[in-house]
Amino acid sequence: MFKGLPQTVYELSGKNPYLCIQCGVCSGSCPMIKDMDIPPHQVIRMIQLDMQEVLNCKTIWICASCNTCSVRCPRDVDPARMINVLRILVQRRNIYPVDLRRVKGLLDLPQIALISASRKLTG
Amino acid sequence: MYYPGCSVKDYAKSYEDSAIAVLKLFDVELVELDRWNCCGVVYEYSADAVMQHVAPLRDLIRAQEFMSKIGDNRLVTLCSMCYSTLKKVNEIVTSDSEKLNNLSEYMDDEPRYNCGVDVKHVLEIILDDSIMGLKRIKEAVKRDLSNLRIASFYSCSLLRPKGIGIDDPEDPHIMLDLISSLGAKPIKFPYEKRCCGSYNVVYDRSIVERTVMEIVKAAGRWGADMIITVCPLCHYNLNIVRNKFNIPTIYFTELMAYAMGLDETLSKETLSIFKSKIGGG
Repeated sequence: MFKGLPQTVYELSGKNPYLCIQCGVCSGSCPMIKDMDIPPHQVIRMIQLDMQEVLNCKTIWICASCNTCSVRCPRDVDPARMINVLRILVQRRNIYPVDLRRVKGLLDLPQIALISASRKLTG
Repeated sequence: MYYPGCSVKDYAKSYEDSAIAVLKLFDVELVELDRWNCCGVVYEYSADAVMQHVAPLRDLIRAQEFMSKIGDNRLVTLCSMCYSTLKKVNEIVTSDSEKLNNLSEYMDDEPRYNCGVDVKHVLEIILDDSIMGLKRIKEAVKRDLSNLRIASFYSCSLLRPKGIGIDDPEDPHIMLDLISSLGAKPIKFPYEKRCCGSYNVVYDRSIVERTVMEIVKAAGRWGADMIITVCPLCHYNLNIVRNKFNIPTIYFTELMAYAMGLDETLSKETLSIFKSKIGGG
């Protein structure tokens, strides 16, 4: 149906990135936006424009998959799901942003934090 | 049937103890699965994911085997992340037979999953009028908590996404209803459905510190004495700044147990929180 990154994201997420009208509700709702380098609505725009460099951004690793954007998205684009797909695409190239072996104080954290973080970071 | 999950057996033991004690008071017994494994915690959204669904599906198969033994198909979890993951995987294997076939072929050492398990969060059981319900909870309250102002904090995985969450994702009220029926003053504050920063705590603590600071500070501004939550990870994150604002975060079942006078199931720490907030207890 599409070509390049939009097609890959469409196949993996089941959601059409071209439905996004750049209204910015996702970025306005995002609790993590202060720590992101690219706001979520721009991430979707970069997918639409087939910009591969979106895979290098910090945003996709800051997103905590809280799904606030997804329940509010008026076009049902589901940004949280698309960002999840972008993470997977990076991991399938065998690139991992954080080396968990170097994180200090792991033993003081609850199990739920350790397992969810390692699931997110290692796929 | 009861699926505990990792944190509830260690970090959040007080959650399990208080939940079991409260449910027992209403003749509801949580029967723990005789074998269970990690649920995977984070649901994988990509359409071609198979590996990531193996662990939760194995739990559902365990529940299926256990179901016939105790004659009940409800699988109850305490942890909201386990609830969310198990429910989503249950949904996807029920609706997508191709995925279930792939998984079954891969997991050929297990019996096939027949999609008969009903995943429930413990709050659904507590609020269900045919099982417990707010009216019966009101009758079971033994302590006067009318001076206690309590804010509710929902946790993402209990509310979102739509269809999985057990309350309105934009205007949740179930915990407020619960607080009022326990006789305490519910505080609705704008950050109640916000994300606490979740697993970012592992590799970038500063993000979580900033987020929980905003949340707990807002709870203080709205006049809350304490916050109740359903998620062990929210509990951990919010308690990072408990001393700064003197607003501790506890599990909602601990509040219920205290209101119903089940002191023996509560830890000394929790009891001292209540004592310092109410005075004398």
